[in-house]
Amino acid sequence: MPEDTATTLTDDPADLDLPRSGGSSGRRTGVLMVVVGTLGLVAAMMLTIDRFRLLEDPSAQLACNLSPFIACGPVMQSKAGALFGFPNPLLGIIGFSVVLTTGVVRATGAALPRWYHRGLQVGVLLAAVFITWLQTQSLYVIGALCLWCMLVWTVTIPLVVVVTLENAATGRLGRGLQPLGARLHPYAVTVTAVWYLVVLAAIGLRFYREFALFWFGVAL
Amino acid sequence: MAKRPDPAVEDRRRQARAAQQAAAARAKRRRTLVQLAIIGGVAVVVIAIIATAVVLGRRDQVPAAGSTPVASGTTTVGGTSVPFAVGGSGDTATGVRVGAADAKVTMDLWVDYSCPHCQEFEATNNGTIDGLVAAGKLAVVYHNIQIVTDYGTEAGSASACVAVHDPNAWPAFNAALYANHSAETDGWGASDLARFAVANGGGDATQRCITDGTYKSWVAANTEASAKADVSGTPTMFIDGQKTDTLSGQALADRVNSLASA
Repeated sequence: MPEDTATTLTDDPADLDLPRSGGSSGRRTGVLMVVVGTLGLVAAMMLTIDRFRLLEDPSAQLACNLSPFIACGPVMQSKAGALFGFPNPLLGIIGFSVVLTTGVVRATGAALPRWYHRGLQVGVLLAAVFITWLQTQSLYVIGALCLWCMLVWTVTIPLVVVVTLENAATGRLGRGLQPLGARLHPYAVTVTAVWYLVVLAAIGLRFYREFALFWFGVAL
Repeated sequence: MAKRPDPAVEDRRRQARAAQQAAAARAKRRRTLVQLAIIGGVAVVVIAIIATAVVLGRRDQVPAAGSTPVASGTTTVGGTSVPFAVGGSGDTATGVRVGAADAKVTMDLWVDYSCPHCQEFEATNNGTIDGLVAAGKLAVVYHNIQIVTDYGTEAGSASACVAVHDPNAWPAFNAALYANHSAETDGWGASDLARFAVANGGGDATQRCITDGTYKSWVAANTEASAKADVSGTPTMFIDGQKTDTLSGQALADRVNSLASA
């Protein structure tokens, strides 16, 4: 590939130290991925285990069913809960294991080839699309929030933001995106926070009546 | 022999380094402030949007026409004429009662037309319940509340209108409101439901009543009352005043039959 000569430098581990970000950004991303991978795995495991429990005893009282609208039962049993014909959390167990492993490798300071970063980029983008679709299903079709699912959303969002901005900033996604990535990379926290707020706004708009009624006894 | 460092050069170097560090610290501080400002700004916008929704939602949920439905008479369940009452005092203050006055068993159902589990419960048990009511063993008080979507309020008001003006059509209309609920009809407003009621045996008075949103505030008041009645979800079932797990199918029939023959 002709562009390789131009970008070999950006695959050098030293290059993971982004302008102005200080320290070893690659290692920090690795640590973040370990945290995200671990929490995501816990959530996916809990959802899978609860799914088994429900299959053994359809009337089982799940610990995650807190109120009519914070309930994992209806969410897991919905059509959207098994988009590909099997329960979604199985995908989570696979995906978050990869994230965790990659995080451990990067936390050691090891450099990974560009094709690996690009593969990971495809993975996190698919994850972003998937959780966004699940959010709309949960809010507007099923009408219930599920705690473990929300933990998955919570960890996936910073993962997508950090991996994408880092890949863009280091030029792994092509030189065209590099300047934009370098500009936005120091603002990864802000991008994550704004994304969180948008999701919170959607939840608030959809469920404020339920929140008011069940937590404060006020019928709005 | 090593060249002795020129003190002036050293000094300039130190100054340059210090200036560089200060500039970097300033840039970092500025970046932190910008981040905080953006996050804070978006948070304020989000809170403002939700507050606006709460205020607007409140205004159109409590129409001036708000009042309590009051009616009593008979309706037809399973081919049998049975007593029917809505509003007033006691059980029916927050619900619609269907069944003989001397029925051995009284069941209170706290339900929401927009709740998927209630739809399921209704589809599964409508026949069983109607049979028990027609046999004179059971009286049911349907407390319609709203906790899921606005359809619960709109349909609840429509249901109360039919109960007041066309009681004979009420049992079938009650079932139809559940069967009708889907993603497409979830956004139905008063005029859609008025048309639906007319198609299901509602008269002119019912149509006007629904179009005016007359009993939407009653549904809201019932919802408030439900929290006090220890209802934490829908459907919630009370049998003879005792909160119980939501019985369904044969278990429901068995419980009512055994209580009725006791």
